[in-house]
Amino acid sequence: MDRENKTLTVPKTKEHPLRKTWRSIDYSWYVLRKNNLTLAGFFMIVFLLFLVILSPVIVIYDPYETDSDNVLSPPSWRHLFGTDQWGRDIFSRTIVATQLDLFIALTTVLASASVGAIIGAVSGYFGGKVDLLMQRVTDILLAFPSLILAMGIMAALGASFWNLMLTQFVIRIAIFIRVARGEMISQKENEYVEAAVCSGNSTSRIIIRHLLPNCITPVAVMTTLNFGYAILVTATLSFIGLGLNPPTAEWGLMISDGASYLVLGAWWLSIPGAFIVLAVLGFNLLGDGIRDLAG
Amino acid sequence: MGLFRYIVKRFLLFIPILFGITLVTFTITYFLPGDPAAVRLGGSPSVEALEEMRIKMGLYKPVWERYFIYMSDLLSGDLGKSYLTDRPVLYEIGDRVLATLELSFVSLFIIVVIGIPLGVISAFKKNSIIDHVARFVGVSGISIPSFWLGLVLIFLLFYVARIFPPPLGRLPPGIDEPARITGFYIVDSLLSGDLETLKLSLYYISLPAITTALVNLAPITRMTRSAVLDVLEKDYIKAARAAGLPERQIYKDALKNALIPILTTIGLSIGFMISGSIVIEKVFSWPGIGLFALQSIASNDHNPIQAYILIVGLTFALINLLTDIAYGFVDPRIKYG
Amino acid sequence: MSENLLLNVTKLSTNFYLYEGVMRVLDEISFQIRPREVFGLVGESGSGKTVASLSILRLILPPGRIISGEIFFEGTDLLKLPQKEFSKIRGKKISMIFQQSRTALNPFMKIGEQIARIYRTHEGLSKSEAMEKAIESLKRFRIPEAEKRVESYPHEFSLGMAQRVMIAMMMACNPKLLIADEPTTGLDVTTQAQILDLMKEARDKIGTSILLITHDLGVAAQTCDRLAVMHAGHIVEIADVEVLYGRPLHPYAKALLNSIPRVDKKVRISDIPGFVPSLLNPPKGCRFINRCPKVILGVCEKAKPEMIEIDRGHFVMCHLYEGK
Ligand SMILES: Nc1ncnc2c1ncn2[C@@H]1O[C@H](COP(=O)(O)OP(=O)(O)OP(=O)(O)O)[C@@H](O)[C@H]1O
Ligand SMILES: [Mg+2]
Repeated sequence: MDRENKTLTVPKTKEHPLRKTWRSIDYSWYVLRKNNLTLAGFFMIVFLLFLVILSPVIVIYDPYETDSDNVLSPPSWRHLFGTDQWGRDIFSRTIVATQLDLFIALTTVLASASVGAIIGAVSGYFGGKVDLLMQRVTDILLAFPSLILAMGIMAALGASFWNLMLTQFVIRIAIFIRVARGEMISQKENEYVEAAVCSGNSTSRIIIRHLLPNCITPVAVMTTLNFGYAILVTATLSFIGLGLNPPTAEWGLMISDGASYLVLGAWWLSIPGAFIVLAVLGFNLLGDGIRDLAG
Repeated sequence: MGLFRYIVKRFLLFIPILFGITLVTFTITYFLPGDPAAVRLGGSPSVEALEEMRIKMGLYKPVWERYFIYMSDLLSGDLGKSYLTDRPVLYEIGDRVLATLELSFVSLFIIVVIGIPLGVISAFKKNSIIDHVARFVGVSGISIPSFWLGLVLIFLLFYVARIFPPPLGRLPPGIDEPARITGFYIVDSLLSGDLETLKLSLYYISLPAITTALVNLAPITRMTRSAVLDVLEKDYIKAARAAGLPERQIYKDALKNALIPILTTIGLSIGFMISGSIVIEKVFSWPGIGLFALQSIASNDHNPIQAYILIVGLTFALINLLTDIAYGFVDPRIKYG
Repeated sequence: MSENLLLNVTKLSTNFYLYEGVMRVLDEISFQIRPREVFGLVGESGSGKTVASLSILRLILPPGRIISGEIFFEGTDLLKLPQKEFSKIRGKKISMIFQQSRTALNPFMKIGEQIARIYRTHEGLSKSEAMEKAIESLKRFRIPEAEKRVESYPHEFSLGMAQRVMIAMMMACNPKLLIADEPTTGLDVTTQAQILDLMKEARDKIGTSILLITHDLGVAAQTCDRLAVMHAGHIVEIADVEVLYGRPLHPYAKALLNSIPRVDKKVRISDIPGFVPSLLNPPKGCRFINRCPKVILGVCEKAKPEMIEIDRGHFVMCHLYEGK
């Protein structure tokens, strides 16, 4: 906002980008402490990560081992969350699924964020024909609701782990390109870039040292807000049969299994569902907080 | 006049998008697994019959030629035939689109009636209890997978409480659909005075509509809130206060000026509801285009899949175009600019 | 003297509560405005001029808050009035022209309607009467073809015209006090002069006092009767214009005014070296200490100087003059 320019304390443009990044980390912690909802989100994610780290210790059953004597059993001390229609331990499956779903979301979102940010930044910096082409491509990708695009690509490639990873990467790269491009174009106007150009810095050095760090904030906000959505997409695709294949331990697939036994009770689908909600809500609350602090 | 030029410009920008959408749709279909000829013939046809069919369907032609054929068919309104039923896809989809639209409109009604007032109240009473609750409910809404919410609601409200009907589509089995006028059961049964069917169709649409509404409520509430807040911080609102206008009037101004972004979100919500319908329709066995697309994917029936992706993409793009144009009508800066 | 005051601001403090900490934007500022007077407020960008004017109208929004002080207007303390009563004063007795008139007019509303509804609110006129008055007030501020222009939207006006519309709107009810926050910034010289003339004319005909906030020392010299110099949330000197330009006392005012070779030549305040100190953790003593050529070590950094009256009506806030 133009408020920024009015404070004459120390001109913002003179601040080193890394220092700015550090200040925003510092500020993040401040916001976290101040805003209860954001803090709650933070702890939800920490809790899930904790389960993932502890998984070698707490996953005592093989999540793929069937037990025909013990199917669809309710929670007990032996099976904390009960067993599914093949007698597999739901607790173990849920923890393994946590690992898998978080892994897919984190890696694909980070991958499309970094690749998208670089493409967007470079294309925004140089402009010209390539930039125009890039814009049209992102326009087209963004013309589809991302779930439908994901569904289409998965239908074409077939349900599998790597295809899912690829699809998740593709469906949100456009949005990162657009965000980074927009930011880069407004950054480029800044005087400190001119100063850097005048003092004879090379182009790549200017982009890497001066411009990219300044584009990080909006990309980071976008990234956090996308983690939750990526988890939803994985689960949804698996649920409609276009994500991962059974018998993989994955939240959406577990819900799909549970749905078949709805008449017997909601137990089998409430656990994986609750985990999805916990993860997505956690990331969304956290993302909201980060967005607020980014302005 | 400014408005006319603005609209023409929007339409011109729309053309490359349309082109892109067909390109994406075609590419996806090109890579779909399964042999269209085999699906078309069914059973276990001989090698010669298959070969003949493939040639007849043009599967051996080069890609660019196939795209060209696809485009020229499309421009003459031909979406191809379903390999399974051998009926035109347009015909198959036309039926089901109305089911999807009916569900979307009812959900939209719920959303608009609840979400917009909630967003306005949160903005005016920023940081009050209502605001915090609305925000939390909002974030929760977008954090719950719709299919899971649907299943949980079915379990609680159908299996346990027996308040709502089973998830079996638009009407209970054995009940005839109302005389077809618009294809919307609620409207048709109303028009033909069939109150029994009207009651049943309202009853059957309620739970899927509530589920869809709950999932899509959050964006509308949130956008309404931030749009109103945004306006409230504007200089002209300060100036209106400085001029001593009563608060009521100021709120009215703020609402009026926040209308456009709210309109945009409503447009986007329709898009999201249509794309999200694929999941809701599966859960509630709702015979719309989403369910049809899933069935077609399962049976390798390419043309309906292609048509589905195309239609959703077009709808989404069209809604964006329409909201852009709506801006032009409401904003005097564009209208007379 | 105090018997004849329109506005009497005493020890007004306004804070902004930001994440970095508390920003003390106004620190116990005091000044008086007499009837029929043009009172100028000059100072660098960020010194708190806009915040001061918004505070008078109680338009400070969270995270900002007026924390102490009194604002007496015609004998009543504005800060103690209930919201309802205060609304009746705003726009009728005190009104304000904003820094950027374009953004201060509602973009979705015809300007005739925007002015007319002020008459409806404050004078209870009917729709058509109010519209007639609106046309009249546009004419009064020399908007050509006023009858037609009431149908226009703000974006259809040039900057200068929009500023006139804003003045017409805010002068609708002939207020006693008009706060003008940089009404001429961004306008070309001719338009600038026209706008200032319009305001002076309003003062002469209607008797409206004007609080004129400006960057432009030339404008201040030509337009104002008395002048207050603001620096980093403090008012450091107040005097009649001739006195201040003839014999500035505060080192900041000196630097400011000495940098102008001739009064009518324009020099921007920002030409003074150094920066306004951070209002976040302001120096405990004088806020000019980092830029002052005449610092008295051991005194200036210890305590905030008192406002003292050197001559009749000439106030300065500086340790150099204490005890004189
Ligand atoms: N809404 C706000 N939130 C945070 N800080 C604010 C806000 N309004 C004003 N400030 C701070 O108060 C200080 C004074 O601002 P103000 O707008 O009064 O300056 P000014 O003297 O009017 O400057 P200019 O000549 O640029 O208009 C600035 O440092 C600004 O950062
Ligand atoms: Mg200002």
